Amino acid sequence: MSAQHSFGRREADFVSKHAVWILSAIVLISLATIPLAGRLKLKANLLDLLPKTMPSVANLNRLTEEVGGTSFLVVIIESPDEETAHQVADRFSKQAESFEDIDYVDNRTDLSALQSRKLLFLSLDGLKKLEQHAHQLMGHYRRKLNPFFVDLLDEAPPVLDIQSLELEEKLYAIGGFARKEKKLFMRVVLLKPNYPATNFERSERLFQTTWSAFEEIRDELPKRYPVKLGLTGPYKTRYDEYHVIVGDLKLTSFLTITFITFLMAIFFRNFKSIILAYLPLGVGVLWTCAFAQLAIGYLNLISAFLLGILCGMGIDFAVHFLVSFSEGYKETRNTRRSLERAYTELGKPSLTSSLTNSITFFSMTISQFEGFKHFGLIAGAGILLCFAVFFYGLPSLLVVFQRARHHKWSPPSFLKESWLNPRRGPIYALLAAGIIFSGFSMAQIPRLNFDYNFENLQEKNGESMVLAEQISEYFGVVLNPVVLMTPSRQRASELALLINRYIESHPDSTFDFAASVLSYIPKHQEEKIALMRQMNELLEQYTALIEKLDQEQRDQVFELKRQLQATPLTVSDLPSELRAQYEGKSGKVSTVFVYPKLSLLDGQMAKRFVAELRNLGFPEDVTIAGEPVVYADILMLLEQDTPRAMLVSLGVVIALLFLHFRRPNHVMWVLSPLMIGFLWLAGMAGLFGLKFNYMNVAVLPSILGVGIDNGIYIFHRYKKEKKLTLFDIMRTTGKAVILCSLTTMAAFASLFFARHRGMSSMGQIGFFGFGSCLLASVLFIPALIEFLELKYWHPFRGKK
Amino acid sequence: MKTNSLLYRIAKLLLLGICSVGLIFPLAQDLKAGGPAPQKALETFLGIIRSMEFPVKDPSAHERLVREADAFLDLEAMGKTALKEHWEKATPEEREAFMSLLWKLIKQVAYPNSHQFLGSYKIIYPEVRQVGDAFEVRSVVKHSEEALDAKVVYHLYQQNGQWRVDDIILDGISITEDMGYQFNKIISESSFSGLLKRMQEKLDQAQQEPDSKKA
Repeated sequence: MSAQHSFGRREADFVSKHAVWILSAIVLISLATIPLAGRLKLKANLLDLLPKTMPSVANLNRLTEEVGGTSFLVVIIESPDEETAHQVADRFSKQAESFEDIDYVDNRTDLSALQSRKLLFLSLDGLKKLEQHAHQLMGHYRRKLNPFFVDLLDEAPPVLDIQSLELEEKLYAIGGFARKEKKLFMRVVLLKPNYPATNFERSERLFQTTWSAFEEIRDELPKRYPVKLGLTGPYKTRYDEYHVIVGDLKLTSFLTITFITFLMAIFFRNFKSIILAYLPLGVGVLWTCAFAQLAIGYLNLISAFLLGILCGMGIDFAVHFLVSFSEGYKETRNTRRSLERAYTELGKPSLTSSLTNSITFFSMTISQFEGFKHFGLIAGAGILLCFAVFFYGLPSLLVVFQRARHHKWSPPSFLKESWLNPRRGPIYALLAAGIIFSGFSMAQIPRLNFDYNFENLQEKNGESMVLAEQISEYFGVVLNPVVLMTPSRQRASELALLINRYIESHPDSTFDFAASVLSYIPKHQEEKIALMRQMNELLEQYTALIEKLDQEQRDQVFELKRQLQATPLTVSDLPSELRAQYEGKSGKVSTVFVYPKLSLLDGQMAKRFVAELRNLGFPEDVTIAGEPVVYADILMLLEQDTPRAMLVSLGVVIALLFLHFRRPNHVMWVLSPLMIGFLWLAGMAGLFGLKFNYMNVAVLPSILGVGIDNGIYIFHRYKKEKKLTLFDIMRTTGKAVILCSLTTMAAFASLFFARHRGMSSMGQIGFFGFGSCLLASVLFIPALIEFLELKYWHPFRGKK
Repeated sequence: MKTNSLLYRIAKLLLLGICSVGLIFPLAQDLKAGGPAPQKALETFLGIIRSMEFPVKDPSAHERLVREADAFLDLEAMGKTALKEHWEKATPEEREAFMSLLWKLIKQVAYPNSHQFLGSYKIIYPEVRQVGDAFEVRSVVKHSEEALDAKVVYHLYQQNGQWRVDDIILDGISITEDMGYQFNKIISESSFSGLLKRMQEKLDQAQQEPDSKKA
C-alpha cells in the first residue's frame, strides 16, 4: 500500500471519528477570533505603505511634528458676487477658529500689515515707473488747469491705475487666496486640523461642522447671490479615497460572493455544496482577519484587497475536495471511503499547492515596501489558515451532514464529455491559436507600460480631486511642495536663494521656485522707502492740484499717498498663519518650500524632482521631507522589490516543485502553464491597453503562486493515473481546475466595478493573468502534450 | 527888506524841497519794491481779458481788446524759452510761422480759457517780488471753496515803459515748461514742420468750435 493511500485512510478515519469535535473546536476558535477580527481597520494612507524607520517617512513625521506638515483642509467659497464670497469667507474663518478639530485658520484676510505696505512688493524699477506715472498725471492736470496753456497733444489723461500694478495679486500670492474665474469669485480658506489626516472619524466630524457653519452663514445672507462651498486638500482627498475603497470593498465582496456562488451553482447544481464550501471559507477569512489584527493591526491600501482575492483562492480547495469526494461517492456510496479517496488524491497536491502559495506570498515579506510586506504576510498566513480549516473542517462537515441526512452525492457535470474527447483537429487548432497568440504576446513585451501617475489610481473625477486640480491651476502652484527643514531662518533664506539661483541657471530643472519665510519680505526696502518719500514730497507739492482732480483720480492719488507712508516690513508683521506654515508655532526649525513645475502625483516627475533635490547635496543640518519624497521612495522600492519578490517567489516555487516531483522535466511541465500564462498576460495587456502600476504589480506574485496550482493538480493526477491521457484527466481534475480558476477570476472581475482606479486595475491584471494561466493549463499545454503523444513521443508514458 | 525877501525865498525853496523829497522818496520806494506798478499793469492785463466777451458780439471791440492784451504778453520770449534748442535750429521762416500760429492760438484758445478761468472771481495779490530786473506778482484767484483757490504767479518785466508778462506759473509750474514739454514731444516724434502742422490743426479746430464752447 502506497504512502498516499495510508495517508488518505488515516486522515479519513480521524475525521470520521472526530468530526463533531473538530467542528466544535473550529467554532470555539472562531468565536474567540471575532473580537480580534472586528477591530481590524483600514489605513488608506500612502505613508503606511513604507516602513516607519525609512528616512522619508521619519522626516515627514518630524515635519508634521515641527510645523504641522504641509496638509490642510482647503475650503473653497464661490459666488458670482465678490463681496459675498469675501464676506462668507471672513465670517466662516472667524467661526472656524472655534472649531474643536482646528489648530488654526489661515484665511489670510487679516492682511493689514501687508495692505499698508503693498508698494514694497513692487520691484525698484516698478516703483520708479510708478513715480513717472505720478509725474505724468500731475503734469497733465496742471497743464489742463493753466488757462494760458494750449493743448496741442490732446492726450487722454494718464491713469494712475494702481490696479494695473497688480498689487492685490502680489499680495494674494503672499497672503491670500482669491480669484475671479469666469463669472465666479473664489475665496479659499485653509483650515489646519489638529489631528493626522488618517483620522477619518474626526475628519468626518470636521466636514460636518464646516458644512453646518457654512449653511448657517449662507442662510443669514440676503438671498441676492448664490454661494457655494467646496472642500478639498489632503484631508478631504484621503477621506474620499478611504470611502471609495471601503465602498469598493463592500461592492466587490458582494460581487465576488455572487459570482462565485453563481459559478458553483452551475457547477455543482446543488445548494448544499455551496454552503459546504462557504462555511469553511468564512471561517478561514475570519481567522485571517484576526491574524492580520494580531500581526499588523491594520490593512493597508494593498492588503485591503486581499480578502476578496483570498475568497477566490481559498475556495479552490473546497472545489477540488468536493469534486473528488463526489466522484468517490458515486463509485462507493460510502462517505468514509469517499473521504479516503479525496484525501488520497488531494492531500499531497493540496498541501504542496497551499505551501507553494503561502511561501510565494511569504516571500513578498522580504520587501521593504510595507504594501507588499503586509500583503505577503497576511495572504501567506491566510492561505495556510484557510487550508487548515478546509482540510479538516470541510470533511468534518461532510461527515456530520451525511450523518444527519443521507444525501446522494453525484459528481458535477459542468463540461460536456464530448468537448474533452481528443481529436487531432481541435488539438492542431488549439496549438496553432496558442502559438500565434504567443508570438503576438512576445511582440507586446517591449510595449508594456508602467503608469507612474498616482493620480490615475484614484477615483476618476472625484469632486475633491477636481477641486484640488483647480486650486493648483488657479493659484499657479501645486499644493504638495517638498520641504527642506533647516535650523534657522537665515539658513532657510540662504538655501531658498541658492535654489532659486540654481533654477535660473538650469532651465530644464524640475523645480519651479523655492520660498522661505523671508521670501515674503520685500527686497531693497531702504531704497524703496527713500524713493517713496521722494514721491510723497512730489505729491505734497501738488496738494492744491490734487484737490481739483475728479473723484476717482483723487481717491487713487490719496490711496497712493497713503501707501507711500509705508514703513519697512519685518517677519513679525507677516500673518501668524504664514509664519507658522514655515516655522511652526515653536519656531524650532525654519523651512524652505521647493515647488515643482508639474504635479508630483506623476511618479516619474516625483522621482526626477526628489533625485534632483538630493543631488544638490545639502549639508547634514538640512532635512528633505514631504509626501512627494515618500511617493518617490515608494516607486524606488517598488522598482527594486517587485523583480526581487518575483524571483524569490519563482525560486521557492521551483524548489517546492522539485521536492514534490523530483524530475526536472516534470517541473518544467508543471511550470509551463504559468510561463505561457505570463506571456499571454503581456499579450492581453497589449490587446486591451492595460498598464502596470504600483498597485496591480502586487497581483503578479499571486498569479505566479496561484497560477501554478493548475499545473500541480493536473499534472499530479496525470502522473498518478498513468494509463490515462491528459484529456482523460481533464474530465475530472480539469473541471475542478477550471472552476477554481473561474472563482479566482470572478474575485478579480468583481474589482472591475471598483471606483478606485488602482483597485480596478488590480482586477484587470488579476483577471487576465489568471485567465491566461487557465487557458494555458487546460487547453494549450494539454493540447501540446497530447500532440507529442500522438506523434508517438511519450515523455511521461515512457517511464511506465 | 531885501534880506527878508531873500530869507523868505530860501525858506520857500527849502519847504518845497522837503515836500518834494517827502513825496518822491515813497514813490521811489514803491517802485523799488515792485509795488503797485507791475501789479497795476497785471490788473490792467487781467481786466482786459475779463472785459472780453465770449461769444464775440462786437468783433472790432474784441480785436481792440486783443491788441491791448497782446501788448502785455512777451510771447516771443515765451516761445523761445519753450522751444529751447529747437528755436536755434529753426529757419527764420519756421520761426515766423511758429510765432504767427502761437499768437493766433493765444487769441483763439488762451484768451477764451483765461476769460473763463478768471470769471468774476475775486483776485488778491499777496506779494510782489523783484527778481533781478523783473518782478513776480503773486495772485490768488479766490474760489468759493478755499481748496480750489488757484495760485498764479505772473513774471513781468518792463521794456520801453511797457510792462510785459513772459511766464505764468500755476500751482508752482511754469507755462513755458509745459509748452516746452509738448513742443519737444511733437518735434522729437515728427519735426519742426510737424509742430507747425499740429498748431495749424489745433487752430483750425478752435476756429470751427463755437465761441460759446471756447468760453
